[in-house]
Amino acid sequence: MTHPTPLYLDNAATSYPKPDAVYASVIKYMRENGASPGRGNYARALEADRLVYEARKAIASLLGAPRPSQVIFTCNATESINIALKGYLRQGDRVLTTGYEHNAVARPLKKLEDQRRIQVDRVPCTAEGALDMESVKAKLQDGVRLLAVSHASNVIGCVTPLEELVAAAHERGAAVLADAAQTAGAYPVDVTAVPVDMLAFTGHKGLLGPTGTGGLYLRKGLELSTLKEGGTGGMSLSPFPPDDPPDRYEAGTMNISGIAGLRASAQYLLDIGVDAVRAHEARLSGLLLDGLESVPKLTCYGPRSAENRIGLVSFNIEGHDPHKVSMRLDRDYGIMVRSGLHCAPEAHRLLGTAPIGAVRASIGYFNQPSDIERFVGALGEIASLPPD
Amino acid sequence: MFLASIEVLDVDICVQLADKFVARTRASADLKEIMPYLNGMFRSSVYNHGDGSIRFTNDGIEYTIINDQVNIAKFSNRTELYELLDWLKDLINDTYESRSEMTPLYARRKPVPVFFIYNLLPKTNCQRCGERTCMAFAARVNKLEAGIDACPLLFEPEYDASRSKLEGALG
Ligand SMILES: Cc1ncc(COP(=O)(O)O)c(C=O)c1O
Ligand code: SF4
Repeated sequence: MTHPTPLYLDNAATSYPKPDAVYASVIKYMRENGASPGRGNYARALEADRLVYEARKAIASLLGAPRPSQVIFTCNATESINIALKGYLRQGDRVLTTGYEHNAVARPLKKLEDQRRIQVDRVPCTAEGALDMESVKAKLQDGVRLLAVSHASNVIGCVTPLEELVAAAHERGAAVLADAAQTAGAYPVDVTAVPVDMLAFTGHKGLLGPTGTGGLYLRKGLELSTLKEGGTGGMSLSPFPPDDPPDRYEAGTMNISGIAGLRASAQYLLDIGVDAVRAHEARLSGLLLDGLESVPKLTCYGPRSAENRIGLVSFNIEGHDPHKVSMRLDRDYGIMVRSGLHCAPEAHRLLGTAPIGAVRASIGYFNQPSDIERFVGALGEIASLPPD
Repeated sequence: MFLASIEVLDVDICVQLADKFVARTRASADLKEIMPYLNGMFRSSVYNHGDGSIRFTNDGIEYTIINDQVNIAKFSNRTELYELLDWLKDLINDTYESRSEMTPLYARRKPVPVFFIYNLLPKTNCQRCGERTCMAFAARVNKLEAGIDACPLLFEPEYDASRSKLEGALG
């Protein structure tokens, strides 16, 4: 049998391919520079400093952050969320969150429930991810210190109404942490217009950078206790980490090869504009939703309209195990999608798809309408097979 | 663009403040031409037309510019250094663009005597400015290390007259 051309539709896990400049920049840094930033003062080390700064600046402008130093580099959104939650929450604090969080939020919160006796409360929401705003406001009355929400669900695809949530939280003295793992780079994020206190992002999804990159935006003046301590290049005589961001949170040699790639992808996104990426993905999502509707026995989860969702759709075909559907798609059609719980069991509980989960197809900026057609066609054939 | 870039040549720890840094950098253009305009812009500036040098403080950061050499002192980390360089580059380019509407200032500013400043302060030694005494604060203002806005009492109505005298003297 001839192998079909591969079609990658797992961009919500990590985006592929990357812009060519990303590959080139990683190699260029590794071959031609190779120095550690923030430390030495020979010319190449200073060049490495500049590279990291340019990456920070590009990310800051993509996120609408006033200053590059408000962007702390980490190795992924998971690390950023851990820094935020563990650095901000204190013994006995109350936290409000949603019922569709990724384990990157849910598990650190669970650990803090046990270790610091924090109290975690969840906002009721529908299977389409719509939050009950009245309930949010009522729950915020009870001295909640932090509202931790994903900007978009990696399973349901719904976009959280951040602006309303931030206004409600700030009015009642709670800070807001947004998990923008699924949105940064692919859906507009603006920390100035929607003044979240902390925003975690990952570099390898919508931002189109290499894996092992990510970061945390911190509102000016917000100081967290540190998750890790170590060398920061400066002020080495002090036994304590420096007070100022970003160095305070960036102990250890950073992933500069990855950051070199992230700088290139961020610049690529600044050049084309996140709005253009969003428009392209929304159009493809619309085609995907329409196409899936035509497949018999297929149930789509999440908001009906592409307007209110990011570029991913989770679904199941009646009588077919999601795991086998994704195996077949790969083996017989060369199409890569992810099945299972997507590290977000709470979201699947909400959808009623736990414990087996669902199939999730997720679009990237490099997909075309023909990819959607091909995918929908393959699903039509699979749906017509006898049940498992 | 008048000033295309500023290149960092060296970063070192600050001899005055253990937790701060200093950097030597080089601008891609000679900045002499722009100095009289910068001189008019910063209250703290010390300009020497003959040498082609200027020194000023802004937000606690010290800048010394000699021809194309720019030295920056008292920043906290390298990210901040690059932010400051971006700021300075934009400032210089904006100034250059609009220099026809600005008046260059060639004169060297004279420091305002400590006692003159002290006499106009509230003299409560309340320490809200971060100094132990009003005299210590006056000495810092004289050295252009602090601005009078650090003394909150001066902004109360009863000190309106003293404040405007100080503002007048300090330019
Ligand atoms: C909503 C959400 N939050 C957090 C993460 C974690 O991102 P990372 O694996 O890059 O840390 C992901 C993706 O895996 C996600 O979809
Ligand atoms: S705040 Fe003003 S009044 Fe108080 S010690 Fe400082 S200079 Fe004096």
